[in-house]
Amino acid sequence: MQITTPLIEAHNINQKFGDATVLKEISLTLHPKEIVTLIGPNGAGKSTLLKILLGLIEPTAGQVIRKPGLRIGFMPQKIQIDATLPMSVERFLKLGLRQHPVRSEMEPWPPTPFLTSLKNRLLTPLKMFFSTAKYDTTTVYKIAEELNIQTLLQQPIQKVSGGEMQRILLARALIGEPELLVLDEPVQGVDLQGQTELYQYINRIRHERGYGILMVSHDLHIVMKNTDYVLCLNQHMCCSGLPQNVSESPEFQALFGTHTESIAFYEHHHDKTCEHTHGQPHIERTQDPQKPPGLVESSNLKTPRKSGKEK
Amino acid sequence: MEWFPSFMTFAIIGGLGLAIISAPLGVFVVWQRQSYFGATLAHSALLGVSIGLFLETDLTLTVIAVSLFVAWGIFRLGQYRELSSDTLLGILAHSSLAFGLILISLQDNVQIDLMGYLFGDILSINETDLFLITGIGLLILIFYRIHWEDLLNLTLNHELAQVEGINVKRIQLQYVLLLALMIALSMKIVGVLLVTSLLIIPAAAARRLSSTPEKMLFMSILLGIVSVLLGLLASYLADLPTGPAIVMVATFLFLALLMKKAP
Repeated sequence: MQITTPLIEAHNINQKFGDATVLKEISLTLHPKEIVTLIGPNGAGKSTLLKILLGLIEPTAGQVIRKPGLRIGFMPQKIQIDATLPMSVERFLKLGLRQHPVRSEMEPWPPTPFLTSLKNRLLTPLKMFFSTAKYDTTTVYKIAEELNIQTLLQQPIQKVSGGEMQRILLARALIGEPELLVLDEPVQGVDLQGQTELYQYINRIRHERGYGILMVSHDLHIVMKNTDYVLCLNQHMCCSGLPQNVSESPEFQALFGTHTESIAFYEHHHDKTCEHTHGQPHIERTQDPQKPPGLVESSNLKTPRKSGKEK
Repeated sequence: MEWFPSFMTFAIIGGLGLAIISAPLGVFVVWQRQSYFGATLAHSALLGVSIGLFLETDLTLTVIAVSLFVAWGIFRLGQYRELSSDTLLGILAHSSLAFGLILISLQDNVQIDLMGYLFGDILSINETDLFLITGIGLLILIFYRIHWEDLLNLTLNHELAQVEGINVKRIQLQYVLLLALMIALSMKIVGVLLVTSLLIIPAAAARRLSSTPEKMLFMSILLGIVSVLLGLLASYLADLPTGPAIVMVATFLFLALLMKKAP
């Protein structure tokens, strides 16, 4: 493990909507070059946790600490654009070039002197308006090429397919040269071949560019392979730890079943083991010799996958 | 209908001014699917008229104040309540219309031409209105120069925009207040019931002519100007009510452009 400043830390996050508890005592830390994956059944609070980490909603209790000036690249789950807005994919990507200084509750200390801040407030918008043409647009084309969406650039953004849209959204998240990438179900609607490619790409850029990556996923197999840390969420932190360990923990298996070969086949149980393990990483191996859990086999880092999706 | 040259000049200048300032607001109303929001503000403008009559204050200013207040109210409610905005706007639109009409009917001593407020009376434009239109035009110009790309980004996706560092709430509120100002002013020209048409019809018609947001804004201004000029002309030649005549021309333009293939 590196000894670097974490990009983002969350401590004891609680979230309630009305009377309903959505998140209970969630903590996590994310360093550069790390991939943390949030998994959990529908309604487990994954998206809510993501929004809290992004600063889109204030948690009911708990604390989020972002590295000062942290640049976040965010890939939303879906994006709906009205057909009346004439916008090419290229323009959509270029609009992402204008990264504003990220506002956050954690202002760097000491605060900027009044005069400087006043000057910035007055000058920055003006500069931004007049420099529209001067943005370095080469990044846009470079990333478009990497993600193989160059041919889509001139198309209206409303006309692209679901899988293409995911790549476009990822490109947009990357264009601001973020330190932290937050991906909400990045491979949703992408075919298996494309999923593998996308994950390989994400894995490559975190090594090459040192991004920290936080993603939400339903897919247990492919994500597990490259993830450093898995958080299994079901309102409380059901289990967490290294991918192999998580997949072997009884809580995980209770939540997702052992027949995880078919991804859509999980059932959501509220059993005793899951109830009393808030935030405890479960690393002990509990394997039933008569019926070995399927997931252990398929998610082992060293073992080649039988399905042949990975090379 | 009698036409005096000075009134005609005011009418033309005021109409053109409104066509120009409504375009930048109108395109975003269309892109963000907020036409019902515009209609609600327009209905509440009538409440402004009756409050103004009741308190015997300047009507234009009262309408502006009430519209701003209602816009702010809708904005706040939209932030905190998870009510369907459709329902919320429907309730506000018609309740403010009802309250406005009741308040007017209670005042026996005032004889007002309700038709003038419902359908507009472009001949009532005076110098104050022209100053106000110019002022709001300047505000809109400044706002759009600074926030054009921010507005585009938040139209694309609120959350993405916010993560990228755009102060979504503040910009949206400023935009909504400008919209309220514009609607309060245009009530005189096209009337409460037709105000939104000035916002959305030129913008919607411009869609077929545009491949970028900027082009759509430009075409929307152009179509708005044409609608106002031809509408005034039709109103003058055929003795038609001015507001409806302008909307009619805009609608014909929209229909004609509907035949055209999108770029």
